[in-house]
Amino acid sequence: MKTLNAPGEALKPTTAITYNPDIEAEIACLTEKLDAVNASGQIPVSPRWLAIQLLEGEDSLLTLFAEPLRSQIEAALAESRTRLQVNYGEDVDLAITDARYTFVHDLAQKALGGAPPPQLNFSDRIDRVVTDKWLGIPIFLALMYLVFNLVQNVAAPFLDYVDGVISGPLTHWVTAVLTFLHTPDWFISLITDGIMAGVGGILVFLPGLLVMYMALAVLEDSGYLARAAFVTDRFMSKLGLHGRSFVPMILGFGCNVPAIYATRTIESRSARLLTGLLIPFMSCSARMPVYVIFGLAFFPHNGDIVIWSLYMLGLIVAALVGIALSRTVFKNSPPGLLLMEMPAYRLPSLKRVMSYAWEQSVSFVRKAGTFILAGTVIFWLLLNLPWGVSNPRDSYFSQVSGAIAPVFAPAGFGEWEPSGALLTGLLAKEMVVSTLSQVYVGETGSGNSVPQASFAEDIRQIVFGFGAATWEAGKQLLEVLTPGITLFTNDDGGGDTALTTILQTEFTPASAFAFLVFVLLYVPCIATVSAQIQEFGWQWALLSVAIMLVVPWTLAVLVYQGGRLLGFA
Amino acid sequence: MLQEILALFHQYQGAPLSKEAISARLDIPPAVLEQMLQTLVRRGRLVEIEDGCTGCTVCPLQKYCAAAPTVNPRGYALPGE
Repeated sequence: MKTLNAPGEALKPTTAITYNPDIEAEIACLTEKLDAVNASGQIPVSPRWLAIQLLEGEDSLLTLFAEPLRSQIEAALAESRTRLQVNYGEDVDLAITDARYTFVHDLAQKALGGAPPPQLNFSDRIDRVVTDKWLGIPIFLALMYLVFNLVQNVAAPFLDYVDGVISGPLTHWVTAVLTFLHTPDWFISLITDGIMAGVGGILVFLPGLLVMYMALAVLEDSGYLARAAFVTDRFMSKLGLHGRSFVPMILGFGCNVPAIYATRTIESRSARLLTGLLIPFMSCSARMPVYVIFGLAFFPHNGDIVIWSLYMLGLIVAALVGIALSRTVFKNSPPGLLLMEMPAYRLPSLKRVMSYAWEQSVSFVRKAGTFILAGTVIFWLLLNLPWGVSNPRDSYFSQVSGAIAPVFAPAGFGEWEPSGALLTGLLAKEMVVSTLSQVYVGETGSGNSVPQASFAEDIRQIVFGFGAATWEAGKQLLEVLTPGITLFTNDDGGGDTALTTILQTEFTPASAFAFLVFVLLYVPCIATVSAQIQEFGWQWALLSVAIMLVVPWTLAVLVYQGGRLLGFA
Repeated sequence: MLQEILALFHQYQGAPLSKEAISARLDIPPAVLEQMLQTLVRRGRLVEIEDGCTGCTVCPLQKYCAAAPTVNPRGYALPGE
């Protein structure tokens, strides 16, 4: 073998890539033509290399030639390609490139043949477990349970604290200032019973959502969330879902609206429609406050399991509806392979986690301060129309809600208050809790019934209450992170808000869970329906709305009636 | 080898595969597989998916969005699916 070239001698390859005989024949044919052209030396590259490139489809190289040479070479190239297409179809270029990869692969095998296989790195070793065919889903479910456990138990003391501050000192101060300014009673009612009960009723969940955002940010930053998408999609794809559906589906857990728009990445219309119809079953983060408040009110010791089971129920219902639709409406929608690249595992960065949690929390507050604020003001007006009505039960809103309430009687919540909350929930799911706060807490005037305290006592409640909530949350955090070990005596973990207390008298465990099932599965919000109309058209959006009314009603009735039979009503 | 990868994309009915899984199945080193996938993208046989939240750019609630962390996967799929 020649290993060295003499000084000044051009480097020459000691071996050459040999293509299939028919390809070699066409390369030779084209090279011959190019050689003839190159007699004058106008081609600055090897004619064989140029012939191969042209056969591979690099037509831009034809610009090296001036007319009429260019047309002649173009014609010869077309003839060669036509002959090769007999054997390779439209993949002539791939056959040529493939030969090069095969050459390199064989060469590497010869050179490294005796070398041991590369050691698995840290990410590979973890992936073998967390993306395992059998272990992947249970690990994902266990981690999700841990997240909800954190949300429910760690957030409860803060929820209690924030609720106490809003309904206590804050309400005292605002009422005192408004009274001092001689504002009319209706205005004080709007601020305290409407805005503070409605918006405040939502803002109490900020600590819980902050915990959830931080937990999810840790999972994302560590690289696990991509694996979670991977294992859940493996499950969903068995149900006829398209390989590229997983991104919108996972986004749906955050917010259904961008998830609907994200279906644009799926080019197959039937696959897009199927994904778009199933996204609303993914429990968006706006539904979390409803789960938390009912969880604390009715399932204080296993609210995390209730929240977890609701998320699972959403997935199961989506799967069943997906099977039904893919076997009836979308018969010809074969799932295609998606090749996913997993990011390497890494230790989550505290800065990134806090930054993400902060951004999401700010977005939540912004939404509460705009959409929810506007909604609560409108809702307060509706509760007070006709103007001057003394009891909200006589308001127009109550009459409209009362008209649809009987529909929900078989599900155990056939009163105007929950029906009204479901109506306003169509604007945004956070409005469900906001409305319940206004009709229950605002109606009873609980915010004003708190005994008047001095300014110093209010300040003490705010400062020391925060310290106590932090201490309690820290204890709960340690309990959550050390399963099976009781570190602290199980005293009241908090979470007794004015609303939870009233809900306990208005619902039974069976009707509460039926209500949660309905909230989980019914039409997410007007914005999602608008996105469906924009992306899929009126007919499909109406079908989606019909599905999102029939399925939740049926399941809520089954849950309530089943609960009654088991003695939970 | 390129044809084998493409055949896998066409024939595989089911879950997504990781690059590592395809690499092991076809006995191709991951770095070479990456090059081959890029070649298939350049030749128009595959499309590369890089941004999971394309919907966010047109979403009217973008300013108020409190969605879960965006899973921004990078992957490959057949065009037209």
